[in-house]
Amino acid sequence: MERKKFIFMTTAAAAILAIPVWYYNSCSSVYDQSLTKPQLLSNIWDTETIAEIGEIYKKQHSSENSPSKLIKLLSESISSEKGEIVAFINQRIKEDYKTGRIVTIDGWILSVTEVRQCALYSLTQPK
Amino acid sequence: MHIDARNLENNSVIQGDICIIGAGTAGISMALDWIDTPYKVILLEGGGFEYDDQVQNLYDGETTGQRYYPLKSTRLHYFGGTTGHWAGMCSPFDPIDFIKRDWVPNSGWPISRKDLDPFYARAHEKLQLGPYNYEFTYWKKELPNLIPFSLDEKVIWNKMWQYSVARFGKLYGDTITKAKNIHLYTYANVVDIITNGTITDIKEVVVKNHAGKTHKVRAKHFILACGAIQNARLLLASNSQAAQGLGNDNDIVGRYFMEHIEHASAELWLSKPFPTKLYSWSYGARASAELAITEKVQTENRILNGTVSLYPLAFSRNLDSEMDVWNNEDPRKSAENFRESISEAREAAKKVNEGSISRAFQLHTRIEQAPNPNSRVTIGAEKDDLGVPKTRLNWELTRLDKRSIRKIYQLLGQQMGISGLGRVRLREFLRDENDNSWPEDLNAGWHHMGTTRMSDNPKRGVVTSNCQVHGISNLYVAGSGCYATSGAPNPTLTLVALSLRLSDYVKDKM
Repeated sequence: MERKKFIFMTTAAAAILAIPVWYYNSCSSVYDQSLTKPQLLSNIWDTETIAEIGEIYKKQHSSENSPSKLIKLLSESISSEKGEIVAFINQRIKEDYKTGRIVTIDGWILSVTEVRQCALYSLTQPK
Repeated sequence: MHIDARNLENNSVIQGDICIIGAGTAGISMALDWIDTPYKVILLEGGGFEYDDQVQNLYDGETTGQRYYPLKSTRLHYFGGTTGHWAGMCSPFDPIDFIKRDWVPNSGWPISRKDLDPFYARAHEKLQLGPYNYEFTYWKKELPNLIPFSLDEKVIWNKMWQYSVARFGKLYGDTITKAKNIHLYTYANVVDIITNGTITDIKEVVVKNHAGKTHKVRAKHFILACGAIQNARLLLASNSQAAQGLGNDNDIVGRYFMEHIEHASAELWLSKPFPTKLYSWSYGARASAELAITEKVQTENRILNGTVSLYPLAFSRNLDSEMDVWNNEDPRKSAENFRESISEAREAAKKVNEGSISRAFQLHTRIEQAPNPNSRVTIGAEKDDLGVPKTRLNWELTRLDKRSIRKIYQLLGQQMGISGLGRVRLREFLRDENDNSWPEDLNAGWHHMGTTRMSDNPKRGVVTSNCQVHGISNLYVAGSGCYATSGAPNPTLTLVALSLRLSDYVKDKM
C-alpha cells in the first residue's frame, strides 16, 4: 500500500471509530438525564432558577461552558451502573461540602457538582 | 417604703447605708437582695410607677455613626425599667465570651463563666425562669417536640434559651414598697455625684425632679444602676471636681459601647418539611434554641460569637426592618409600630406560604459586637430639663463584626450541605467579601453594653472585677455597662447575675 493511501485509510478508520464516542459524550440524547437534575435543588427551585444559576456559573467559569466538558466533569469516576448515578452524584455533593468545593452564586452556598448540574441543564434545555 | 421625692421639702437630706441609683432590672435585683438585712437601702428612681413623658424626655439624645434607634425610645424610665417592654429572652454567656481572644481586640474579662455560674442560678429566681440548666439534652427530655437538625456537633450546637415574663415593675412593686428597710424614692433623678476633695470617696448625690425640688442623698456606698448609657452619662456629667468626669482618668468612660447586631442575614431552604419546635420562638414559651458555632470553630475561623435564629420566610420577607419601624421617639409608639408591622407581615405571609417557601426560613443573626473604643457615649452641650448634659451616642462597627456574620452563614451553609437538609442563601449585604459596609437598616437589639467596662487594669477599664469604679472606694456600677465583651445572648440574665455578685461584694464590705 502506498504511504499516502495508508495514512488516509488509518485516519479515516480512526475518525469512524472516534466520532461515535465523541457523539456519545457530547450529545444530550445519550448521557444520563439525571446529570442535569440537581436533586435537592429541584425540591427548592423551579427549573427557571436552576437554569439561571447554571447560566451565572457558566459565565464565571467559561472553560466549562460546553455540554461535553460538563458531562465529562460530572461523569468522572461514575460507574456504568445507571441506577447508581444519582446516589453517586449526591455523595459527591456531600463530599464537595465537606472538602470546601463550594461556590456562592446569587448568594446561594452551593457545591461545585450541583452547580455544574445546573449549568448542564441550562445548556441542554430548549430555550 | 415608698416616698415621692416631689412631695419632700426642698433641699431634704436623705441618709442610708447604701444608695442604689436606678430602679430597673439591676437596681431592683440588688434591692431585693437586701430586704430584711439590718441596712437601710435608698433606692432612687427617676420616674414613677407609670410612663411619664416628661421623665422619659430625660433620655433624649443624639446619635451619630451607624444609624440607631431614637435614644429616648430604647429604654423605659420608670420603676421596673426596660422590663416594662422586654421580650424576656435569657441565656447565659458562653465560657469563650469571658476569655481573651487574640483575634478580638480588647476582649477578656477579669472573671470567668464559672465565677458567674452561682449568680446566674440566683438570677433565675429573680427573673422567674426555669432551672439554671441550658443543656439541650435536659430540655429535650422536658419538651420532646424539640427535634434538632442533624448537624455536626463539632461545628454547630444548639444554644438553649429560656423566656421570662417578669415585668419587674408589676412583679416587685409591692415587695419593694412593703420592705421596711428599702426606701424607694420615686421622681428622684440623680443629676450630680459629689466626691470628697481627693475624689476617692463619694460624699453624696444630688437628685432633682420636675417639681423643682432638689435633694441630697448620703450613704456609705453608691451603686449606679441606670443602664449602660445613663451610667456613663452620669459619670461624665459629674465633672465639677474631676474635669473629665468621675472614674474617667484614663478616658474610658463611655467608650466601647456595644450592641448586639440582630439582623436578617440569610435564608435557609429545607428540601423537606422538618417539623420541630426547637428553633421557633413565641412569647411565653419555656425554651427553644438557636444555632451557634462551637468555640473551637470560632477560634479556628477567628470570628466573634453569634447565633442564628429561624423565622418562617414567608413572614419575615414581609417584615419591615426594626430600624425603620422603631423610629418614634416615644417608646410606646415605636412598640406599637413594631407590633403592627408584625401583624401585617403575618397577614401577608398567609397569601404566599405555599410550595417550597413553606419550608424556608429567614436566618436571623444575633452576634456580639467587637469592643471598639470609637463606639462611644459622650455628653453634649445641650442639657435636659434638669440641667444634665444630653447623651451623644456614636455607634460604630468594625470589619470583624461583618466578617464574623458572613463566616457564620458560610459555615452553616456548609453544614446544611453536608447534612443534605437544605441550602443557605446569603442576603445581599454579605455576598461581597470585600464589602465592609453595613445596610442602612441594620438592626440592633436595644441592648446597651460596655460603657463602664470591667478590667483589673484601670488603664483598660472603668470598674474592677467587683464592679467598683477604679480609684473611688464606695462607687460601683451594676449592669451591662460593665461587660468587657457583649456575648451573643441578650444582656438581662447576665446583668442580673453580675448585680447579685456585686450585691454580695458590697455586703461583705458593710
